[in-house]
Amino acid sequence: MKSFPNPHSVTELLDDEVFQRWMKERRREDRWFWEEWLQVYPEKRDLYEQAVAAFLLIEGKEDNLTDDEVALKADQILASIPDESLDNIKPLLGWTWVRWVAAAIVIGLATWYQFLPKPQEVTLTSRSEEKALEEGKWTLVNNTSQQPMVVLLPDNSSVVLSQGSSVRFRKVISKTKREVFLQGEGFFEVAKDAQKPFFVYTNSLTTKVLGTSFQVRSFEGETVALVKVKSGKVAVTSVAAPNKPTYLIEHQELSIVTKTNEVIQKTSDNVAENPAAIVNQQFTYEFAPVSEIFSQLQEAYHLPIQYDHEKLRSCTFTGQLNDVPFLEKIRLICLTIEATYEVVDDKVTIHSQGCN
Amino acid sequence: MTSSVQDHVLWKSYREGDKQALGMIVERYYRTLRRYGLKFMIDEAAVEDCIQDLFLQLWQNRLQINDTCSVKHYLLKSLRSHIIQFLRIEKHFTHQEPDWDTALPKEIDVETLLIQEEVALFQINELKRQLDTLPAREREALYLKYYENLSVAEIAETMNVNRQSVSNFLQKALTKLRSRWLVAPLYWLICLFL
Repeated sequence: MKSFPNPHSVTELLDDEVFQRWMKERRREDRWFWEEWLQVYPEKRDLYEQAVAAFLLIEGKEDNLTDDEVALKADQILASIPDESLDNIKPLLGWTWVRWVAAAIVIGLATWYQFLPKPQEVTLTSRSEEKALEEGKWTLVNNTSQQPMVVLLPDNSSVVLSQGSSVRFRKVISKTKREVFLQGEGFFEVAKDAQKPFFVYTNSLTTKVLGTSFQVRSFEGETVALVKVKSGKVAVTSVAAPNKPTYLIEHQELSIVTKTNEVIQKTSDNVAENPAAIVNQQFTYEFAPVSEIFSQLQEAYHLPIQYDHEKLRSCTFTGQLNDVPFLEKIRLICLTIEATYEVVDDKVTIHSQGCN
Repeated sequence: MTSSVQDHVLWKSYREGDKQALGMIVERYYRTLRRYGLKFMIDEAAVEDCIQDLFLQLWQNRLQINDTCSVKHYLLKSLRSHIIQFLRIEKHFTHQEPDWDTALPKEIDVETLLIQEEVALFQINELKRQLDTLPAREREALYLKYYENLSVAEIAETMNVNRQSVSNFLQKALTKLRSRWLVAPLYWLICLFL
């Protein structure tokens, strides 16, 4: 004789694991079991029906993913996981320390333009990462030059990458999110796209935004990792406490001491310290000559902008370009002065018929 | 309980750096997580993003992550905190309770479930009316208890409240539902006679 559950209340039946499995999986052999059960306890039919009704309600709307769909999702998740992170995490505790210095981004030496670095595809230590790069899914840009450089991301966001820093990103943007892996320091201006949050991963912290501008600094060998917000709002989580985000708004910054995971949040006040750093610069204009704007942009992003000085002589621009990425700034200016632009060989060329 | 043994093994391998083990955990719990996530009334893409974030962080933090007695409970708990985080950022959601979906299954297979259609529909409608009056957190506690089969302690940890509160949520919810269970058959009888 089989042992049948003999519940005295609806909740007792709901609590029964055999009943739960029957309701969730609806196996044929379980159906036979409950058919028999109903014959053994005909007086409990009400109770059974009430439990079924309650279960269906608690379960709610069905969700029909096929096994193939689930397998696909699992593949996508695995593909999004960076291969090299193990190599980066391990030595975290043993690093030596240097304090964060606001003057780290050196911007503004006009004479440096002609020595502009080209983005370099570097050789990598990790074999698996090499494989991922070989497969052509990721782009890696390493700034080995002596000055910051601008990196244009596929979603039209831009990063001003400091010396000795690198970023890695997907060549083709995923459908759900934008992800950049950063080592070192970068100033990000993120194209707005509420449907695809933008993530910056580093060894010690993760920054998530929808569209804004901010600076992230997390060098190997430095004690403090830093996020500094220029505009908008971002969520920062430390790798050590992934479930405790800190929210930062304009002019706020957060540093994490990597050894102790101590989090320090404060209002940024570095404008005085380093007015040239892009994170501190304002891009607000009132009838400003376009040529002046272009030279500010050239300096800030370390990307040459070529145009016909004569033709643009009488062109001006009014508006603010603070929280938009580099190319969006160019695009908005061009829109105003009825010009077009193209990016070829690490320089921007403006085509204009002039303004009257 | 073969599945919990295997979970345990997978969890250990993943923490030792086996990416395929994490992949198997993803496959095993994707439906569970997605179903739970969708209850918070946010769109599918957002739920899937939260799930992806969850596993990405699990991988990044695997050296700090401890052993767990229940992988499912650990994942449900983590997903909830990712969703709360998402609601805070994107929906400017501050302190109020997250919402909880009570939409019904589209079709109820009465034949398979061994119930009589009229009775079932009547029962479900009666109960639905009651369920809709419950606060979201009571509905969530019911779900975690009777659908996911979590213990009171696990529910407390998942929902980030103390055990006593969970017992209270369940108690209140069941009292309301019970009043229907008693009344329903009577209604049915009355309907028959009218």
